[in-house]
Amino acid sequence: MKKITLATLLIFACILGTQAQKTQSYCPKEEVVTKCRKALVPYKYTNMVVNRIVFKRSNYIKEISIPLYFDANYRLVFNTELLPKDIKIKIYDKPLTEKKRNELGSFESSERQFNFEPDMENNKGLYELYVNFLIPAYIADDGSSFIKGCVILMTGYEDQVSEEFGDSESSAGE
Amino acid sequence: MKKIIASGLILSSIAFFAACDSGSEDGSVERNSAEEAQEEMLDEMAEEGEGDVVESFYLPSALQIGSIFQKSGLKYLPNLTNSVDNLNKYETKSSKILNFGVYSADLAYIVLNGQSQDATNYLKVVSDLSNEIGFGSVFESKDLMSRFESNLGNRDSIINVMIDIQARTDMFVDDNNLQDVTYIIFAGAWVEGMYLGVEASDNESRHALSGRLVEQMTILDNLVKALKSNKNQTEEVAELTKKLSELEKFFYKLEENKNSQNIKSFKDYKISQEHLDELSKTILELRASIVNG
Repeated sequence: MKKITLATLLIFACILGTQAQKTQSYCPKEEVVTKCRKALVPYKYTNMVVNRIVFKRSNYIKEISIPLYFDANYRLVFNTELLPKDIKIKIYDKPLTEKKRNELGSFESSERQFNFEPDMENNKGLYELYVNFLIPAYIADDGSSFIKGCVILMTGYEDQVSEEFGDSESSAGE
Repeated sequence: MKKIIASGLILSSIAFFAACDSGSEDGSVERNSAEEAQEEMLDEMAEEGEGDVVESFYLPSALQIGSIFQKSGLKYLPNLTNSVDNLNKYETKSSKILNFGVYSADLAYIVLNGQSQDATNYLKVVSDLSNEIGFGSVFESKDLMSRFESNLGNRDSIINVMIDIQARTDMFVDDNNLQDVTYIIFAGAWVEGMYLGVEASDNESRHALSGRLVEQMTILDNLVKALKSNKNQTEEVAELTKKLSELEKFFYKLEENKNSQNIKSFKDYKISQEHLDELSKTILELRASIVNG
């Protein structure tokens, strides 16, 4: 009798443990963050954003804007290993609300890890990047509506070119 | 009784296997025409700017802002930073969080300018405040602190330690879902960075820095949105958000001015003395409202 009770309790504990782990573990990012840090070299780390991606019953877009300084070079490292389903990631020069915007980069999350380096030399007026996560609608086989994952976005900069800053002859006055 | 336990056991076993099985999803995707149609629809949404949009916020580090200003000729002036003696003035949680940001920006300014002795004092203040705002574990690593102290004479190594502190903070924030707090920290750091930019520039560096100051508009825009995303702001933070929103309107005027001259890059934009004075006045008031507790 005691053994059965103990076994029941153990199984309940296992279920609770598994469920708790499930809620916390859809984004176990430690190893992924290390990979991103390595991919960032030689750029200096500036920030990391963990983008929670929730797959819903309808398509939607998640947008994040990244300010840029005009005389620095940037590397954006994306890691999508922690996504349960694939999404698309597109990078633009203007927000979603702007009708006329240029696509600067496009990636499939199936690539798992990829870098994007905006061409700052040929985009003089570029002072913000807009990263769009295109998240498709999804309903799981068991009928549940929501599944979650995350995309790690790490950014780094290199400001060597700023030494040329003082040479500008094209200064304009107000 | 035995029957109840046995039923419980069976139900538990079913639930157990169901729970264990649900973890095996490997994310493999079988492409079919429905998925392709869905993808097309998403592409169209992105092109047309339609559909539900969820916004998330990105803010750079205080160290990067300091580094960018310094590259544009910002000089080091002693006694410009918030005095470490002010630490005891900060009683509310909001003022501690804001001034954690202020001192972080000061630390970046000091480190970038190779001021070793001050660096230790400011790191101690930042570390003390971190305990009071719940970020103590970021600075708990003895390795981190000893690396900082042993590299005091080496500017690049110290910067690397600062970068590691930033990376640890980002991890900690995400692990503990503290994004709202980091927006307030950044607000303090941003205001202090702007204050240093305005106060430490001289005639020689003013042109280069004026473009830099206006460039901060894009960051301010993100900062205001991030602060507004928290619906449970304290009175102190709500007041600061209001002031920053007003400053944003001033920046929009400058951007319009830049665009009207067909100037593409902030690099080529020179702010007028009148506008610079107006900006300086606002920044000084904002900063005073934070550091005076």
